[in-house]
Amino acid sequence: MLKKRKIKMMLLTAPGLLLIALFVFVPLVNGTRIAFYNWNGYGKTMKFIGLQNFIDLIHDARIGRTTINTLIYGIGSCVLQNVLGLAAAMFVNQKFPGRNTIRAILYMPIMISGFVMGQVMRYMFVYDNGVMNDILFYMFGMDKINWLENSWIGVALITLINSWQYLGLCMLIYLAGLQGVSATYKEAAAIDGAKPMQVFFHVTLPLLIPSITTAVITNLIGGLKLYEMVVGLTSGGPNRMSASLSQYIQILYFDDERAGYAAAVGIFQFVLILVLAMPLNRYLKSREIEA
Amino acid sequence: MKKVLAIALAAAMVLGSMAGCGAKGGEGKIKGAKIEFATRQTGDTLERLRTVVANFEKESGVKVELTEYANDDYESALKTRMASGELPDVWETHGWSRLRYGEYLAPVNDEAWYANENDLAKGILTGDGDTAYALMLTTSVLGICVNVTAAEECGVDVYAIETYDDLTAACQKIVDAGKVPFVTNRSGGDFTHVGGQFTTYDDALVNDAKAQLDGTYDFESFRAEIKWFAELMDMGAFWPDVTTASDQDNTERFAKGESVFYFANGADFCRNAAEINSDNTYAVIAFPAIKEGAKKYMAGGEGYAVGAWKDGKNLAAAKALLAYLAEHGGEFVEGLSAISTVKSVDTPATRLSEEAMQKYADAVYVNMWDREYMPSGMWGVFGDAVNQFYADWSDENIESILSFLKTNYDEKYAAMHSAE
Repeated sequence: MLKKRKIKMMLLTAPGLLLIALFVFVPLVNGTRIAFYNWNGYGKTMKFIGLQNFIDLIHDARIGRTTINTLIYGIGSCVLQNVLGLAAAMFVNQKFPGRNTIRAILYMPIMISGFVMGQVMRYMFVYDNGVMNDILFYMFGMDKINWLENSWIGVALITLINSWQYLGLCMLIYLAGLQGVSATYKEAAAIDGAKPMQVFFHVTLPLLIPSITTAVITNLIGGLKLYEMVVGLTSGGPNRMSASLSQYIQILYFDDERAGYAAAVGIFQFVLILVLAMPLNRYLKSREIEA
Repeated sequence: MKKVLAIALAAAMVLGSMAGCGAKGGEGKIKGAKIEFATRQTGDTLERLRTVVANFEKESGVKVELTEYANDDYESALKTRMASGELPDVWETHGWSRLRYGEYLAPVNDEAWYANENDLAKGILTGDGDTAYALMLTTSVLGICVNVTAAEECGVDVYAIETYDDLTAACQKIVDAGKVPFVTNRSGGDFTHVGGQFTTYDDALVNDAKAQLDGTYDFESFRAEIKWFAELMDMGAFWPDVTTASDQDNTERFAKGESVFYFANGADFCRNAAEINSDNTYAVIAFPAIKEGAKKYMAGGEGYAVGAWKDGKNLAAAKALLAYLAEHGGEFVEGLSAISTVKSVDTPATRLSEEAMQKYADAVYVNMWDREYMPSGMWGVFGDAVNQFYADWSDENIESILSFLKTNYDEKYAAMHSAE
């Protein structure tokens, strides 16, 4: 009976495993293979160069800045989305008229693609006829600012806008978590004299760890792979200085025709995500408690 | 009965395979065939292309699936499809019929329409070799796009610009008049289209053509061109947001007369500007002479060109489409603001490119410099270098850019020749 059940369960997971093998494992193996070749990405000839692409990666003047950008996009977005998402979830978890409307409004930006959001926001910050510059000029009589010329401003804007756009997703995860926290624990703490902040930090938050794990890991990985928003808002500019690793890979592969090196950078990105996400996931899992 | 049926089936199979043998490779009967045609046209030109394709479908019985890519995605999509070995039957080659797509395209020298290509087209299509891989309907003519009205407002007669020194002086006049001389999209073309005048051609400042072609070019002679751009930057000849301005910003500024020049572009940019503001007069002028006694240049190259996948299952149908375009592509070419290169396609001689060619009859028309003298993949590298330059045009960064160009040139040259 147990064996039959096991077979049934395996059959149920088979399609998922097959898809993972097809769309994750095979490209990963193929990408790793390409990383050992000098290839322009489309020609019929590939030349085996061993570890040269990985050696080039160490000496690549752009990889440092691109990695820093990627870490800011990943960690920055993750922190902002989770802090603001939790605050928003706690707010809309209360009973008040119009709370469903506010939930919908907060969730709405997710429905727009990252690229479109980046393009829309670009119009806020462009030099000519940008909303921000028009406000500065017409309301305060100030000179126009080329906001996007400073790559750090570009990086900050991308992080902020990405955080705002995906805040709704965090809110939903935390809302589900909050609704699973039994009121009796909070009431018991209140009877014992705990203040609201103490209830939050010592009762609500520990019980929310499973939600935090989901939200933090999802947002961290999403941020570290950020692509659409970067392309939409700054196109990685000026001078590729706001590019993320994902966009850098795309530039290397398609524009610079360095497919082998692009694959090596892809492996570096994969390892970076693994190194950050796995220990964090293990740590958060260890903090989960049974309610 | 079963035996009879089996024999009949076997006979049908043998006959079928024999019929297949009659066709060379993928070339067979075309009626009923289905082919894919990848295009990056948009708006009016796409509509015109759809009309030509629909007419071809009616007349030939071939079903054409038009795959419409956004212009920005087109190259990436084609590169991906080359890598996967799943190419469209027909696709637009946008300047790369030989260097990039040559190994995938069927030669066209023996096609009947090829005799109708003019000499300029044949030269561009074959390069140093003899084989052409695409039907070229138009040639692009690149020079400097000018808002003539805005130039006159600044006291600049653009047709009096003979040398680069004249152009620099004109820029100073424009700056003094409160306008910004140049808009740019920061593509590799800023550096490449006049690269030959500084480093390659017979009357260039330095003639490094041989070194560029044999892989020993050290980019020392390229410094002069970048220094000229640096002089313009110091003058304020570009917008303060040159590193971030969008195509739309550029077109609007040019159309409104806030800027006068768009370096290294063609009549299609002027056409776009005219759609925003038709009150101004626009023109394309030749790149001025690099020094006294040298010639002016206009960069030509593949304008609208299409090739057929040599391994496509319906190569005959694909070739039939090329032949049809060669004969009936006039309406479509009309929408491209470019010069027809196929004698059978008749277009009115009123467009800016043709005016420019007539006005600069003494200028030298050459294929795009990077397509002739640089290895494949350098266009993107030059684009990167151009962006590095506009962000920082200090002497130190210019040296860094030259070193960056040299490193990439060496790598790409080696990669290109290791494949031979």
